[in-house]
Amino acid sequence: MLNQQLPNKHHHTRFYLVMITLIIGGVFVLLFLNNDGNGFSLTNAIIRNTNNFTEDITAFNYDEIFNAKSGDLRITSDPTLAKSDKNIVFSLKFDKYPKIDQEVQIGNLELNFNDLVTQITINDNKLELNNLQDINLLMNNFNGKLSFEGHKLSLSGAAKRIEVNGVAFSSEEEIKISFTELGYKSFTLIKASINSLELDEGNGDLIVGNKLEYSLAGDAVKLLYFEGLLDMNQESGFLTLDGSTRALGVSGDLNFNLK
Amino acid sequence: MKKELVDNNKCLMTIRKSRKSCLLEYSCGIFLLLLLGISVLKRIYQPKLHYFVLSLALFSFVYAEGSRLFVRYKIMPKKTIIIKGIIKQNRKNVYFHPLGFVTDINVKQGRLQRLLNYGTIYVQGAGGISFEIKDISHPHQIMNVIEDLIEKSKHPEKKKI
Repeated sequence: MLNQQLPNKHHHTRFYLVMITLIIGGVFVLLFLNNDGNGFSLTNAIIRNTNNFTEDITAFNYDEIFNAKSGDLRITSDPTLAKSDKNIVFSLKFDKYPKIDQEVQIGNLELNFNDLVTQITINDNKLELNNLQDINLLMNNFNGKLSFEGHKLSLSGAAKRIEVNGVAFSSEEEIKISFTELGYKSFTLIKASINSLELDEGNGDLIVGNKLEYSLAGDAVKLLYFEGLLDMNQESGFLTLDGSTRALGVSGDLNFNLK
Repeated sequence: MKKELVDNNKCLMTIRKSRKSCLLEYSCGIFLLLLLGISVLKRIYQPKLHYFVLSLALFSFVYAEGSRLFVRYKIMPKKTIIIKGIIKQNRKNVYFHPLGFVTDINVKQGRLQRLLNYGTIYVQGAGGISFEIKDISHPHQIMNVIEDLIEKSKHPEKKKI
């Protein structure tokens, strides 16, 4: 009887091992299909692959995103919209800074500041910046929360590499960094992925592809799923955006939305 | 397998379960590690999933090796000792002399087992299956050895010194 029990137990263990392996294999296949740096999204991979996703994504819940009459851009966190192949390439120079308070992914971040009061923590250790007038902080592959309003920047997340005035911190694991309301002089994000950007009424120039040039005067701008370069310089007082977006809305004297 | 001097109390060979029979477990473990490696290369960071996959891969390797270590067979001139267990052991001595009237010595191999040259030997005496030696390499050779030993136990006067 013991001999009968042992083989059965062995076969059961084998069966469960194989089944769990197959399930995990399926999960990884979906992860690989979905891998675009935007994190885990099981449903998105299923939608893209089971529906032979070729339909125009702008028709998908577009009315929920834009109110075409008022140009009011209602930001949705629907991740499927970020996966579209259709992006609007544009360049914007604006005299107002956006308010951001969200999770972002940034390829390279360059921050120039001389605020020595604000505490910066790296891996839960305080970064001592003494006798320095000008500080240049560089980060590679940052994931985390970014907030800026006006001339203050707050950041909390992790990066692969951090450099402060030429002194680099790098690790095989991620390096945690955080600071709150840091006054900066200039701020550049390269290869940034930001879900939404809202710019209050201001002045500037908008160039969309090679087709549209529009001078903004007292217009507000809203962007959905921006990817590209973002530069803010206190000295010049201008914001520069250079990249692509899923949807762009301008509201002011003329209201229009681009998709 | 170990072969030592022919002696009634000396062990002629010690047989363990072949690693070929644990091919499925090893394959699962290697497959899981491959998935883990590819996901790390593609910079997919899911720590909990990675730890789970790693522990499952390790479990499959440990399970395969553990099942190998769990049973061993010692072929002696006069008997076969079947030892099951690692810490807590069950030991069964099967003497060849009563098997002199054995009706069947069978080797069972499936298609894959035949390709990989491993299988199970069933020794059946008058009252049914006396013992089985499961999932061992070169079963036909082992079967010949057992047949020789059973024959020698039937006719001890023929035993060569």
